[in-house]
Amino acid sequence: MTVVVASGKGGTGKTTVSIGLALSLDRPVDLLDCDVEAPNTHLLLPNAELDLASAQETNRCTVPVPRVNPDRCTGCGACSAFCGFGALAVVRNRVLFFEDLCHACGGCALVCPEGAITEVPHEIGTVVTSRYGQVHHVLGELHVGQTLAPPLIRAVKERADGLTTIIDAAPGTTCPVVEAARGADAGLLVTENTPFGLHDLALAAEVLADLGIPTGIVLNRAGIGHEDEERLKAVSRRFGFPIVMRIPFSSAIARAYAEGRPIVSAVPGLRTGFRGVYDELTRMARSASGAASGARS
Amino acid sequence: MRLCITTATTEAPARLDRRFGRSPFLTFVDTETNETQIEENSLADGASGVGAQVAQLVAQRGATAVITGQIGPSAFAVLDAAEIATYTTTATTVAEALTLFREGRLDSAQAPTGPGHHGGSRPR
Repeated sequence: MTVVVASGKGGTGKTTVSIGLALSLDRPVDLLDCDVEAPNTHLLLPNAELDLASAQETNRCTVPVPRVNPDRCTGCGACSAFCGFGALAVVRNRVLFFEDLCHACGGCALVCPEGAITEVPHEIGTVVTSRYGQVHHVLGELHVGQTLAPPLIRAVKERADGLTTIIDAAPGTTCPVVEAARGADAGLLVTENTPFGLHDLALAAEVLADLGIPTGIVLNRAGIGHEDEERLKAVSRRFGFPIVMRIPFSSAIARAYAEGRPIVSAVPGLRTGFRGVYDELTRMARSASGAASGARS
Repeated sequence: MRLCITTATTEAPARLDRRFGRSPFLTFVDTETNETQIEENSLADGASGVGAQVAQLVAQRGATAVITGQIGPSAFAVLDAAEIATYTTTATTVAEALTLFREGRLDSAQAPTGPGHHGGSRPR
């Protein structure tokens, strides 16, 4: 089963929950850090300081971008007319290519009537793989200045090789979140009960609902005060996403977090809670796939 | 020569739009005959790469100079490759910009005036 952990609002505890879940399951887990613009799962794993140096392997992630052969190009402009992102301009029979705008779709090479465009690899980031006990940790890191996160997220997801996968998504509701969540069997939305947290929870819930991913809500820092329980329950009801866990606002958890330790190592009872969440998500995923196949037949 | 002036509104006095790329209209002026054409900028609402695409359009229309307020690196690179001169001005109307141009009081830009909006793209 693949579980995507998302949130809408940043800083609610996605990474804390992803790692808590991964370390609680007592089985091999692929933990994928798909927040490729700011990956940070390695900071909360044991031996964090060893992570990047002890990585089993680092792979370059490239996307294909066009290269124009000026001897073949007639300056007809078919490539520029096709490009939906304005990445190619043709003036005085010369093609100008703006790499930052290219989405690496390959369309320009397909439509060029002269066969003047070939695709060449362009490096956008790296995929770092390491292991901690039963956790197979894969982290994608986009190079500074690169904007094309989805291909790197796909490269990270392709490295999952086991039966249980946990995906730590980026905050927000943009393409990188959609790419991280796409295809997941179940989702977890981590929130805090604040006006900002609940507002963004609803936005992220819309994304997961639209993708058809059965999802549970994890309330983090439960008990911070001034909480609006009714509003939280309203979001839960609106999307049919049950509240599956409440992680208490406790000094033991805050201390572990501040020290960069996984919270399950500080509060042993949490492991049971995370296992319960996983079981609940498994049931929800089964019932959703059963409903889907029933609808198809 | 054929001039292109980025234009915000068309009713007199037509206002100059300081933005190259996103201006809603493009005014083309033949400086010998004073013949003027106003074209709606169909590319203005594009998602990305608008500056470069409008620069390409300006080149296709046969302009040899552009008057605008500010210009980014992608658009500037395309205009430069098309050997189209770029003049920047703080004039607020198209007529005022045209007068300043005729009097030789506009400087041609030798570089983009800003970093661009999409990573400051430069062509390869």
